[in-house]
Amino acid sequence: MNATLKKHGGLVYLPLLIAAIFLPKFVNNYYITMSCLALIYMIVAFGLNFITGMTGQMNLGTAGIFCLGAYTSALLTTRTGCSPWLAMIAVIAMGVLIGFGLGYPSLRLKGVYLSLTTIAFGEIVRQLANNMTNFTGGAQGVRNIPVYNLFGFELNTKVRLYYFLLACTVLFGFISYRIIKSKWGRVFMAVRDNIDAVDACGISSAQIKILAFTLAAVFGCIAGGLYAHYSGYINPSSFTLGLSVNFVVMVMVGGSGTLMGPILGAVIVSMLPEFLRFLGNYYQITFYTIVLLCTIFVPGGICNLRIFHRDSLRRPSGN
Amino acid sequence: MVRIVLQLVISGIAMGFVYGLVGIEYTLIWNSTGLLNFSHERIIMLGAYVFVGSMITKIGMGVIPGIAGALLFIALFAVLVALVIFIPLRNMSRMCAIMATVMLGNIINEGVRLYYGPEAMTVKGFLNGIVRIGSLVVAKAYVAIIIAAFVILGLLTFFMKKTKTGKAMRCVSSNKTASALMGIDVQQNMVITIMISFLICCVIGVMVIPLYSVNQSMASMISLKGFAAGVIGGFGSLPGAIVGGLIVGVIENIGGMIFPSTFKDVVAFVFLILMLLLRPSGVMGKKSVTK
Amino acid sequence: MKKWLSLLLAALMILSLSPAALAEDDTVKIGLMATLTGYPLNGEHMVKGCQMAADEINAAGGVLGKALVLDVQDCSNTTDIGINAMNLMISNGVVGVVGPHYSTQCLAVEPLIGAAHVPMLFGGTSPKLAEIDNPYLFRIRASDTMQAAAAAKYLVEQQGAKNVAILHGSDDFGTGGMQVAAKYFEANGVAFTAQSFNNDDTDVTTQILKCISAGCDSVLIWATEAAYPIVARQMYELGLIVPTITNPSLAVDSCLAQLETEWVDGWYCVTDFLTSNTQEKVQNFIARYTEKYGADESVDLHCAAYYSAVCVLADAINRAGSTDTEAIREALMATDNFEGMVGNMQPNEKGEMIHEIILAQCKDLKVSYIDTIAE
Repeated sequence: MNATLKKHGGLVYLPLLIAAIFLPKFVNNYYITMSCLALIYMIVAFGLNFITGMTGQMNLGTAGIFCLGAYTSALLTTRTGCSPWLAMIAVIAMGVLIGFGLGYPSLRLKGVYLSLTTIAFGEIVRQLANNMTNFTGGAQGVRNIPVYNLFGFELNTKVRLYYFLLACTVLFGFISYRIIKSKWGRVFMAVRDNIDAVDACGISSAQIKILAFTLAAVFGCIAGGLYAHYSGYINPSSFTLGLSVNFVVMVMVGGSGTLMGPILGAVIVSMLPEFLRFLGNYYQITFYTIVLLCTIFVPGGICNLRIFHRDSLRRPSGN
Repeated sequence: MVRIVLQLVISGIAMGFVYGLVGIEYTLIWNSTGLLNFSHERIIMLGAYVFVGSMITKIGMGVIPGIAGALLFIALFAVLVALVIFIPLRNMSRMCAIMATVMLGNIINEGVRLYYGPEAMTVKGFLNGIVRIGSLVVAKAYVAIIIAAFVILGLLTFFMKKTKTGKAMRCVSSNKTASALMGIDVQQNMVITIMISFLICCVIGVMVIPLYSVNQSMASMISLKGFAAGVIGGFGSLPGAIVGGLIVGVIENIGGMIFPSTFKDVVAFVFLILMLLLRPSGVMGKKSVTK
Repeated sequence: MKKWLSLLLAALMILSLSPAALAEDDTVKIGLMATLTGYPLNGEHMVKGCQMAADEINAAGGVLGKALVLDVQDCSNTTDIGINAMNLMISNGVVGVVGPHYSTQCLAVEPLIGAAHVPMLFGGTSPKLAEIDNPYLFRIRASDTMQAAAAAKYLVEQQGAKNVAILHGSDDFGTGGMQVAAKYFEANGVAFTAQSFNNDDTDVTTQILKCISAGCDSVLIWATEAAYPIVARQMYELGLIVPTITNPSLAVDSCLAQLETEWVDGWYCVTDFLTSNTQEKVQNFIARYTEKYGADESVDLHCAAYYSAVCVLADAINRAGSTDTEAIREALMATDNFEGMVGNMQPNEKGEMIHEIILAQCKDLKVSYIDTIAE
């Protein structure tokens, strides 16, 4: 299957894209809304893939990044009345800021220490959003976040929003694909596998790590901004450690270091619990058990289940 | 004003011992398997639920036999979890291992909800009341925890320095390959370490019942701050966990006094990040950062 | 492997689609959005109360001659899962929704029911929900605007409070209640200090000490059940023993079960529902509930309030004479003094159906009725 991938490049994604384009014709609002959220999560997962999947560093504070992106866009559009597109510029700037902010500690800290730092970061963001009531609206959140407006065409139905998000996800997926296949992508994986070799080759591993973090933060923030306008209402209680864990599970179950991995992972994590609702009281425990079994039996992720990828399964990522 | 500060310091020290115990139990697993046990929050909760739900309520035991029963159950559970999850996990990537422990925690959480129901519980009259030191107060439960912390630390130190299994544990935590070459059954040792860690979790769970009662979120904050305690005190060092806990406990209380009280947690986490950046080896640790 | 996976996912999708596809024509479906997983867990009580109502209604002939069916969906007290739950219920063809209980969930799903024209009978008490211009919202509990103001008023008028400490949770519920109480105190020239704590805080020493040093002579607590074991214990330990009034959580049996007698002795509370309420309709309800679910089950406001919500919704459907949601909404607005367990239901122009609250006092861990306060 992977040989086919290599031969046809990105063509295996074409049928998927076609299916995605025709999806709203066949399903109701419930599935479309779920798909919108899955698309937003996919963008976060693409970003997280650069840190966790490729440079092998642990980030358990992604919900904090997502939260900051969402609040930046929400507060700017509701408080100052500026257009969501302008707010997107601020969101990207926020992403770059976080990237540097989290990137520098990642140089000095490894493995477990980095995990704890990112957890602390996520918690700090959530607590600040929750308690700085005058600035963020506190626990009551931000309401009436406006929808996107494409030259007068308002994205106020879920179907319209779905196509817009699909376009965004394809864009970010494409960017992600280009980065993975480029020199940067190879250097990211080199940092995971043998950081001394990277330095020995004259490439600054510090710069690479910060670059990876910045990419992840920018992707995460943009997704957060999209989330704010998708949901119309945000409050701090959505951006918990549980959400950060979900993002990491997406990359891990889907397959770290690949392009299809985050896509598959985002779909599984956001949609599988919903599909399991028919199990009634047991749907959450079933979902967690499935993920647990995945980590034990499919540790590299589903997309890495290939004979000639066995090496990357054996290699512990990063630390 | 002085009274307030002193009371905060005393309360902080009391909380600190809880954080310290949490730090000890996950440091043990870290030292032995190199894994961060993110499910420890749920094990603490499980210990409390088993004690109150099964031993006291269902079977109707007294307090002491109830604690013994809970400890026995958790010990068996620990062996099961160790064999099924921790041993297979230690050779996998860190990310997988952490995710697996998180999922284990979630499964335990759901299991407890399905079996014991959603209602919170408590044991009336269990370790209630306060102890007065002049005009300052400390809950009796905290005094019990402090005593338990010293007893556990003492027992652990004795166990690890004087008994064969304990010395084997120290070898395994230091160098697995060498230990295996010396004929130590590394796997068996890990199982024992995990069992001890889970037992400490159970003790924590039972002892905090008078403070936080038994519900699904009883251990969420202490587990996170427990991580902070272990790191600040010196990752990998057992007495360091207690020292770290005390520091976190006092700092967050003083921080809550200076800043608006809801920013207490923010203070603790900011302090954690600063410590990690400025002195990653912690107050008492000597291990290198790259572990 | 990918093929297998997509087949599996497809199978799951089909499985989950089938219940919706087989929507029966001989039932009337109403949705119930409950917190069955996650935290805090009051969903089970909601479901039991609603199921009892549905069973009683069906035993008496059903709604419009058809059986009333509950479509129960878990919202896990998480915004995104709640949105999914609401979308699922709407696509399953519910003609009305009961719940959710938490105000943040209500705020998140309110645009959905507005767009789908489905009436929602919710129990979230945040004053913010009254500010929303959505004709499909109906609140079936007294809002915090009423509850917190009544609590504040009681402290000032009946207890002669001059300097109140407001201890509240930092979540939407606690902050909302604090804001209402603060407004009352300001308008009546009573000094107050507000201290908030996070719901999973394990220690509120700092907050209580700040209250003591501010010289308060009474306390108003507005927080969810989870906070009470800690706040009540530490108030007692640190010596903050003054007239205290709280939100309805104190009257909930599962909360009282976690408290020691001396911590909350003499505390007042405002509440929707009291098991010691001697009114015949309440005692009758409790008798029927314990007969159906057993004497071990505690009866609290979650069972009672949502039981009444199902009853009034069924009544509205009958009065509307059809399952057209617009007609049901109008019938709900025309509800005239419908007997409910937490008060008689009569909607004002904002859809607020309950206009009274009970004042009670806790002694020996038993909460007894003092008075009813009407709007």
